[in-house]
Amino acid sequence: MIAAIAWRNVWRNRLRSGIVIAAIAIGLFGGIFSIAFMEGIAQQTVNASIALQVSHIQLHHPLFLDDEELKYRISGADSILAQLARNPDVVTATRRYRVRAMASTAGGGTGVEIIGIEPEVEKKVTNVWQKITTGDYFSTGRRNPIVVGERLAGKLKVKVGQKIVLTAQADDGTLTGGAFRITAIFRSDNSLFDETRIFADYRDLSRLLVLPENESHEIALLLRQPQKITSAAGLLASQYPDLKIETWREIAPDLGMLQGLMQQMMFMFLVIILIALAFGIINTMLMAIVERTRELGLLMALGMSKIRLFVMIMLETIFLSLTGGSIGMAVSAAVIHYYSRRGIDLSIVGEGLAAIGYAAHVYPGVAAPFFVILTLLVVLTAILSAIYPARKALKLRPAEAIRIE
Amino acid sequence: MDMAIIEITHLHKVYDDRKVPVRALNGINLSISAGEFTAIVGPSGSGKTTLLNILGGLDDPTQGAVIIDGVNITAMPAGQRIGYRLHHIGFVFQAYNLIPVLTALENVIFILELQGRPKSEQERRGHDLLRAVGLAERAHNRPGELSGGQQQRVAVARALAAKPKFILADEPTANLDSRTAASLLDLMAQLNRDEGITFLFSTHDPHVMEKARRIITIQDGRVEKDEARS
Repeated sequence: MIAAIAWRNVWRNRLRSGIVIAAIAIGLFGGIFSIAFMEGIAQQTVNASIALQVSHIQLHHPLFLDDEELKYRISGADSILAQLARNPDVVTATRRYRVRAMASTAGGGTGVEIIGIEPEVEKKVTNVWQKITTGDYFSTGRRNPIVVGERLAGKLKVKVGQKIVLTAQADDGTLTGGAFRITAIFRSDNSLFDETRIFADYRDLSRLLVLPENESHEIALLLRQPQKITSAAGLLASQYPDLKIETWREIAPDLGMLQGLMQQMMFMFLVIILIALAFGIINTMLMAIVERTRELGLLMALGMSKIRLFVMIMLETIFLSLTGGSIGMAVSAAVIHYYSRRGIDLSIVGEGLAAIGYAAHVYPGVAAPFFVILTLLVVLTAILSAIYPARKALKLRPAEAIRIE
Repeated sequence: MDMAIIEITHLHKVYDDRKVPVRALNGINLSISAGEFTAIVGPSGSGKTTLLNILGGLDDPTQGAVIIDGVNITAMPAGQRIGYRLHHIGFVFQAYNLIPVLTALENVIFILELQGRPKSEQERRGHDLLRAVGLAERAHNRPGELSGGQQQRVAVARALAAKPKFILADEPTANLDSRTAASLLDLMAQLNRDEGITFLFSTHDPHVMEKARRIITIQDGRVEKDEARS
């Protein structure tokens, strides 16, 4: 019955309770939605980066990533790819040559990284082919086709169909160069990537730089179950002890950090919101207790123990907070669900976002366990907020309280 | 005469938390027996309420003792006294007796719930008691939907619920019109006569006094007159 009294007490002053409930609901909605938004950005940035360039796991010569020298190659890349093709954990694997080069046109010159790919296999691992804005991805029939980023094309003042001269050091140390024709221009959400990468055919690059066709600098692969990445990487490491096996978190530590940082920021943000809400709750409960002094005196006079009185006030606070909390969480879940499908279009500020590698279309999302943690946090806030008003109530002396007019 | 259920000896109460200490009770000695229907009367400020509060264990005396059925309640720690009140003393206050968010029935049952009685007994006894005070059909109304007299009847039913040794009623009719007051008094008198419930009530209403079988007059914190009536 104590719970019943507490619940009905919540609804005695509907306006006052309503205001607190609305404050809690709106506060939580603001917090949850911002969190979902940031989480969406973080998750998308990670996903976009994995899809665009990093993929889940990469294999390299142990020294290659330290200084990308031509000589640090994976020998027997063909047989490794054949083995990976039979590996049930792996969806697809592809190999690449990565070479630093100088790109020059009549309009200018700049340093670039040429990624020598097998165009058709690469399509199954990364999604540059989906980012094409003009031209055709490695259209056949052209000699030395390349695909370049929009920013690079702009910088070199070239269009689809025009040529770029790429100059690099060959395997024998001589400086060599060749003319490559742009068959397509892509645009990703990462401007640095768009400004520095040129995709060429693996075979063309091998021929130009005298690199063996059955070797590579990099093997990138996608996993069937990305959540099992650590064990998969461990397995590969034992299989290929001479190679360096790295997950996307190690290849692009900034991405992992982004996620961690977002989560910590979100948590702090939420705690601040809850602290602010706690003051509202304390105020409401204090008012309720001052208003009900005589009634609390009556309850004590009748023989209600202090513990029960304390529990009653606690429950009342928890009911009040959870009502607001539930509404806030339900509304948030609905709105997040809606935007997780539709996305939030930020293309107005898309340029700025692209400069730091963020997508212009954000799909907010939070994991379900988050709501469980949040519910516990709301209850905890309620309990902490109830302590002071409840203590005040316990100090009442029934003989005096009952005569308060 | 029956044996005494309340023994009051040398009861003093000084409120010294005010600028000028107030001597509310000034050496009261009284003995109340089981089955009494007794009025405590006196002008405002005479100490009636203070006396009832100390008898009910709601307040501590400065000096003296209240012994109920051989138990000195004034020596009990406050926490223990709450439990004693719950199980042995019934209260009817002047006004705002009921918990507004509970129905009449729930207000009565509330005491039984605090006592930890089984649910089935709670329901049955709650209905029986409301019937006894003539409010069977208002069981599911909240106090706000009841008249002042009806509310006081529910309060009497609730006081009875605990099966107390006695019921303390501090000016139970003060907020009622004379007809309602008379009918509440009749109900209490009937419960006293038929069920042997001991009632101790304060009043300054002459009509209420007339119904009492013993009138204790208090003046300046002392018993001025103590008369039995037939």
